[in-house]
Amino acid sequence: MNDKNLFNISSNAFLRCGAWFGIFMKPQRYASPAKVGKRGTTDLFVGTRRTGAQHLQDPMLMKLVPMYQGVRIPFTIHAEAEELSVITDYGCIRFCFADPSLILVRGENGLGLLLERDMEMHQMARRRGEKGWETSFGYVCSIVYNPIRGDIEMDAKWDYEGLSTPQVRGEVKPDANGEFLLSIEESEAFGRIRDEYPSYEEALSSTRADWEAFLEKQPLLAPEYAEDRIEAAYMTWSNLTDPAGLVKRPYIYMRSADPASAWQMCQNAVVLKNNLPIAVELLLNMLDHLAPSGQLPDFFSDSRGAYLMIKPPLQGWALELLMREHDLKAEVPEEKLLMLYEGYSRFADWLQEYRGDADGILVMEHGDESGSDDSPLFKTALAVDAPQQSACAALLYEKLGDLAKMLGRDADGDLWYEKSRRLIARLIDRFWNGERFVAYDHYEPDRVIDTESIQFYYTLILGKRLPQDLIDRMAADLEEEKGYLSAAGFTTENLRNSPYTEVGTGRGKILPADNIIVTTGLYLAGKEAQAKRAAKLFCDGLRKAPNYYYGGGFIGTWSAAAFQILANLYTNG
Amino acid sequence: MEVQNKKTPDQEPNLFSITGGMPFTRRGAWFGIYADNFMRTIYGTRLFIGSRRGSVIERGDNMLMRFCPMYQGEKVDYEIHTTAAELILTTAYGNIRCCFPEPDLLYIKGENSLSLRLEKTNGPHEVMKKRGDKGFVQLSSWIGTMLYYPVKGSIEMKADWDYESLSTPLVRGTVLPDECGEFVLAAQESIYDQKVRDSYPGYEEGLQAVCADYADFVSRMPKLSGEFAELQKEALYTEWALLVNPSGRMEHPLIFMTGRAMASSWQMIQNAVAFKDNIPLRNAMLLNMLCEQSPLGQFPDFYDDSRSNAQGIKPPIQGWGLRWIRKDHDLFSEMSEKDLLRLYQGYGAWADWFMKYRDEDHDGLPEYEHGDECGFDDSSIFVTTPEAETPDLPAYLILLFEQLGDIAGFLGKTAEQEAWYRRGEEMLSLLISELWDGEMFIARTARTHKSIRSGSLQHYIPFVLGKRLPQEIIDKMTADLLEEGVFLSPYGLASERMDSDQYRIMGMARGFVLPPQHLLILTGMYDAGKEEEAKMIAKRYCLAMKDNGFNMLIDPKEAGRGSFGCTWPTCVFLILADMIQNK
Repeated sequence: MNDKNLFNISSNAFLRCGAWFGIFMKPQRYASPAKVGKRGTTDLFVGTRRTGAQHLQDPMLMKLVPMYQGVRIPFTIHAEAEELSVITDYGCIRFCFADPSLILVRGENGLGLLLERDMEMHQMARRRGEKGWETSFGYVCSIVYNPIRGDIEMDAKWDYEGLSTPQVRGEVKPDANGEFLLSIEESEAFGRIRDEYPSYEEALSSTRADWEAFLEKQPLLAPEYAEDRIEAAYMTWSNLTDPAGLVKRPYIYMRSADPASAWQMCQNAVVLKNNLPIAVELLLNMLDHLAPSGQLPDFFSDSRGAYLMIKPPLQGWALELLMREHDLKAEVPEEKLLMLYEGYSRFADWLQEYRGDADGILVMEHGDESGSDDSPLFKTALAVDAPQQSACAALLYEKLGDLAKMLGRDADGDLWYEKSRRLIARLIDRFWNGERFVAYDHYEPDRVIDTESIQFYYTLILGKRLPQDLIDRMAADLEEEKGYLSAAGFTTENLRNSPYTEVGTGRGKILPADNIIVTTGLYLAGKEAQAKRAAKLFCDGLRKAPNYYYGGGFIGTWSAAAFQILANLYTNG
Repeated sequence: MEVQNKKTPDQEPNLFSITGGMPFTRRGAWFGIYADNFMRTIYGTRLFIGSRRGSVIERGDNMLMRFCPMYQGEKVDYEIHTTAAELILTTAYGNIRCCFPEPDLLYIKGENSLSLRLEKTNGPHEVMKKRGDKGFVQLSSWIGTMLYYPVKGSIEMKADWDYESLSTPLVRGTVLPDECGEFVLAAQESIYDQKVRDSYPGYEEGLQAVCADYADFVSRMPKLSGEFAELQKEALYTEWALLVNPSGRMEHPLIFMTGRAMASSWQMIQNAVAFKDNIPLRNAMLLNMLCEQSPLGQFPDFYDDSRSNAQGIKPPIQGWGLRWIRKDHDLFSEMSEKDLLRLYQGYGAWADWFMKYRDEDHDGLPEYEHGDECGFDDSSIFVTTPEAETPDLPAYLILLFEQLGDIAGFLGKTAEQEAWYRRGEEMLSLLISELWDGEMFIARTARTHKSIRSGSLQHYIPFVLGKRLPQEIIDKMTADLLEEGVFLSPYGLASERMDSDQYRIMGMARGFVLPPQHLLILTGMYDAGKEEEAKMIAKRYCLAMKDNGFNMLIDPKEAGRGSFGCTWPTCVFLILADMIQNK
């Protein structure tokens, strides 16, 4: 067994592709984050990623404690993609998924497992089948615990006054051979005992097969990134969910219990470029919840959509990168191409109608709409006219033209192309000050906002559609040491003029999304070598400069997506 | 400022009490005008525009924008007058009138140089921003957007941007009158971003539209007369105003229980019966749980636009509902074949779910696993155990099986029809042989089958079976329920025997007079041939509403000590009053 955990268990749950629940780990009160997983440092839980858990204030549903002869015992955690091992002095308790809704837990050598949870009014543990127990949490899910081998000694007394079983303490006991096999099954509605269960080996084997098939499709990377490639791929695989509630097709989470937003779908679609069917589903899933007006949700989940604001319209960028390696017309079913075309056409129209001026230039009506919530671009203005949103839209319009042509709608395609060209010309005219791009206060159109934000360099995704002198000038800016380019990738602000602050995310830090967009932009603009250098700095720096997105390993899919895209760019171009 | 809630001399009495928790809203809307009752006895009531979307639960309150009439820069006192279509705030200087021209559009109109103050404190990321030439759009986390646009007059808005909190933390706007001294403010709600419309209807046009919608709704409800005629008006408003249009997770309209809390699956059926003559609405109420049915067949306890509570159930009274509707309607012909088939399959899976997943001891009698599931959360049947076989559940299922058999017959599925009927007969036989002890229907513990004879009225729910029950059982149960001071009170039936050691006016079903028990038991008693007895008790219940207002929980000894009004007592009133007067 490899001693090192595959992933950072203090920030990520043990999950599998498709699942809405998993095993969550939390450092004990005084445990150093760096020691999480080591003997006696960590608490273990069954946790959920369903949005209903917001009502519980916590995704943890049941604490799990290894037991030996009635005594709680310390343990060390070892995490692989397909199996989580809890190692004690007396043996090992192993967890694996049999399918996205079923976890099997196997104990040996007389080990037991304590299930512990305090319940609130109307919540309860109830018997299910011969030996099983079900815990239910309103708005969230049901979890059924069934000892396939062994037994559960449950103490969950009914309290009529509280209409609940306020204290649930159940010990999973081994059988006569000192072993237990516990199933933990999750469902949105009430659960059940299955007629039959797979063996632990069958479960492990099926999950391993699913994982390996997924991993195999991810691009091979330079040798120095071989281990990170597997860890990052686990982040992507384990944060993909099956349909549930409002989720109608594969969806990806940002972290174990937080759904990703619209532009993160685009970034992850590019991560999955070699797994095109899922990549396309990620581009389609927001369209399932397109507003009647054409607005895309900021994000949605199994329970609700969030439409207060939008994220940068990166769909054109994602299609551009996918189309460099794929013939979408040949590889994607026509009905899905049609859904992409019609859905994103409506979104493009919405952008113009709700965020565009007479020239088609787009306004961002809050820092959140830039994707970098507290960017200093918005320090003095709530609404900002800046070039990057229009650059993203211009690329989207062009890709809509491509899709229209694929669908035989040549005239529509030409209109989109013309709209794209016109917008590019206007954004240069409006925002290029001869040296760099700047922004304007939307409500005071003559007031220049020049924060030297990295976001101005998002415009590079237009690649060679930009005049060469602009490309060269922007590339030179990005080359300047101690400017935007740090030892660990691009910073959100030019550090020469804007000192780094610890507060927030967009005030000088290194963000995954910025690095994805600007670095791929450099590459698309013909600055391949420079892009590769920046990509390597980011990928190497990620491990040296822990931050919100990376600390002793990837934290969720954002840094993992940035790593996978940029390490692939560095390795494979 | 002190605000009072009373009628002005020249006006009709208030249709409903906004301080009692009932919002001023309209059918379909996801927002309305609510009263903040904080310290109301000292400082009066403050009004606000509030949301009833499911996600408000994460915010702690549903307030979107507080508002108050102003005159010459000062807040002024006002009296509140409520009608179905208009809310009128009467000040010393004139009136502020509010109406809903459309479900997502609220108008507030001022006269005589009155203005309107808008106030809100925003959380992080929440902003008030300009929209169009003179409008403003308000973003409220997890809820949605409100667009404020002065159709007449203007808005003087102070909502400064604060970069540190990424919000406009303090919103203070004044809607100012035009040169004629009038303003009309349009307040439009959505979960999406919004822009100013190209045109807006006039206030009078909007008022006519909402009046027409209300009149259409009223025209499709049974007519009540005499002592119930006035009371019916408030009930009708409550039922109409608490209906919401599909949004988010919903494919059909749903009805709220209270101003903010969604009704549960069995309340949908009770309201379907109240709407029996309004065919599209009634059918929607019958169908609306199907889109949230689990793959195993379970209906959720309830759901709304953004939440589904599938970790609970409510009793399967669908058979009772279909049966009662069919007394007056050819229901199956009044549904599209597609909907009827969907209903048949969905209700069939729901009936099967009980037998597959709620009969853990395989004795043919399914169990509840929590008092919540029988609809009477703290029923004394569950004092010692949350898992019990109670007599109401098989009674509901018998009716459901029978109705499924009728639908199967209508659809030409003869074999399935016979199978459903057979299941109903077998269940009836089992109910009587296992749970009738010669004196009463008992409950028993699940698996261990220990007898439970509590003081709960729940033991009498099998009355829903009407004449399917042997006459001696009907007679015995009738006699029990007619004994004054035991269950029977001047205001209807207490949910717990008033001489029981569990009786108390606390919680829900340990004594209070409750709407659904009356609905189910009295319609069953009527069906069982005890028409006059059923009408007598129903009349006591309905008159309790007349004398004390619509209350969900009524003290059987002192009716005046009631609780909040909601669609539960109103729908039960409408059905029982119809039974009293029209059957």
